[in-house]
Amino acid sequence: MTIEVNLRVNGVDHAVEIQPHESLGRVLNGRLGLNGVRISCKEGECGACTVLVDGEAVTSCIMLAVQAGDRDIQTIEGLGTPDDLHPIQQAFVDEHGFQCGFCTPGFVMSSKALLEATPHPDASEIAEGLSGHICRCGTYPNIIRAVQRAAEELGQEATNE
Amino acid sequence: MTRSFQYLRPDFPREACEMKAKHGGKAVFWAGGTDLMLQWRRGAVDIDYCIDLSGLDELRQIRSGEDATVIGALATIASLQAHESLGSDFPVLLDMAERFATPQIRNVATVGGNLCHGVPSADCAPPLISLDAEVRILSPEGERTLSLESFFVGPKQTALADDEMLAEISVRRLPPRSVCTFERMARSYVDIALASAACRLTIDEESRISEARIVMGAVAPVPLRSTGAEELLVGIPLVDITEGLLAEVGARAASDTRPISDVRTTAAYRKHLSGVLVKRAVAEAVRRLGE
Repeated sequence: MTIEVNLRVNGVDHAVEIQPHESLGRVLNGRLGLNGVRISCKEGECGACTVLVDGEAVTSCIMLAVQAGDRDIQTIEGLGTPDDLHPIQQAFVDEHGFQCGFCTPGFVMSSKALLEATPHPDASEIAEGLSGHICRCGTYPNIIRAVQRAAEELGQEATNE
Repeated sequence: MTRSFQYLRPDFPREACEMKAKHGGKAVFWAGGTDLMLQWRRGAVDIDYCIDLSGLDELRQIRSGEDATVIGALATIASLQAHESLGSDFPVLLDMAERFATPQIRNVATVGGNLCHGVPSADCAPPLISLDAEVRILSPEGERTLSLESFFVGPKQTALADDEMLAEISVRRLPPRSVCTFERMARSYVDIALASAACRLTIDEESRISEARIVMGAVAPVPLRSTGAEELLVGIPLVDITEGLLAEVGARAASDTRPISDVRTTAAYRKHLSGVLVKRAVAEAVRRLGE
């Protein structure tokens, strides 16, 4: 059995034929070529595959793709470009909030959801907000600083607007 | 992977039950899927038909009424946290939700899914049982209501028949002077509880304990109430609750447990831990009632 779903990813509609059991992560990465969606543990534990669905962070490796049909999906590819990084991405660079970088897209997407809900989080709120992510390089202190820096940047932007 | 399943998407709860009745034991209700997806991939469940409940918006609501709060089975854990009055009416549910898995899982996992999975470690169970929650169950023919305590039958077994669906969980407003607490121990944020304990105490006008509920998770085939431990507390004035009595309550609750050893820890540790967590949960409830 295949079903057709409309996946609205980073503002663009994609009509895709999928099998019912396929995960959102697998379809985004394997079918749509969005390799910023990092499929790793496949159990919703490591957070590397995190994307936003209707603005909420979800682990796309264990969500049925069909359940994301006609909803607003955001991945790291929709955030910034290499020449024009999103303030959260820039803050991760500036604070060295990664080493190998594998887990980074997931951390950045959760940080985006966190900062939208809590624009000025303290360190423990950041740790709690990112508790669904694992960084095997162990750059957690830098990640927390990166999110604090991003919060300042975004706050600044909001003030200037 | 070559295995897959058929996909069905009902528009109404009754239609979902009819689909389940038609396709029998190899049809499953799929809510958030955060447990089910893993089980299916591991081959722990056979699924021929996936009945996706995403379209049943009415079961996603949380309604606060005069006498009771009704939580739709499809309400996510995050929606408990986001609800405007649930956290003030039942702070223990907020407390539980904040410690439930990860933010990403909480955005998807549902209260009903956590209960229907039927595992003894389900975080939603002890607090809700201690609040005397009732569940409304739908079938193609009608509906029935039963206590959440009796909903759990065995490990991964609930009172639901093949064609039945958990629709709502309702919690009556607590009597005045009531406090409910929840304790949970796990290796990490994400991991399931090694053991957990919820305690609800109500005191009368003379500050004597008039009602007590003590419910433990992950230490028996089902979430376990210890009426023996509860009885030790009823009738006791708050001021007379000593460290010694708390220890006795914890020990009594622990003696009721029938834990297993598994990959996470040993039965002996779970038994010990349940006593510690019950003692902490009761002590915290007593402390808050005394404020």
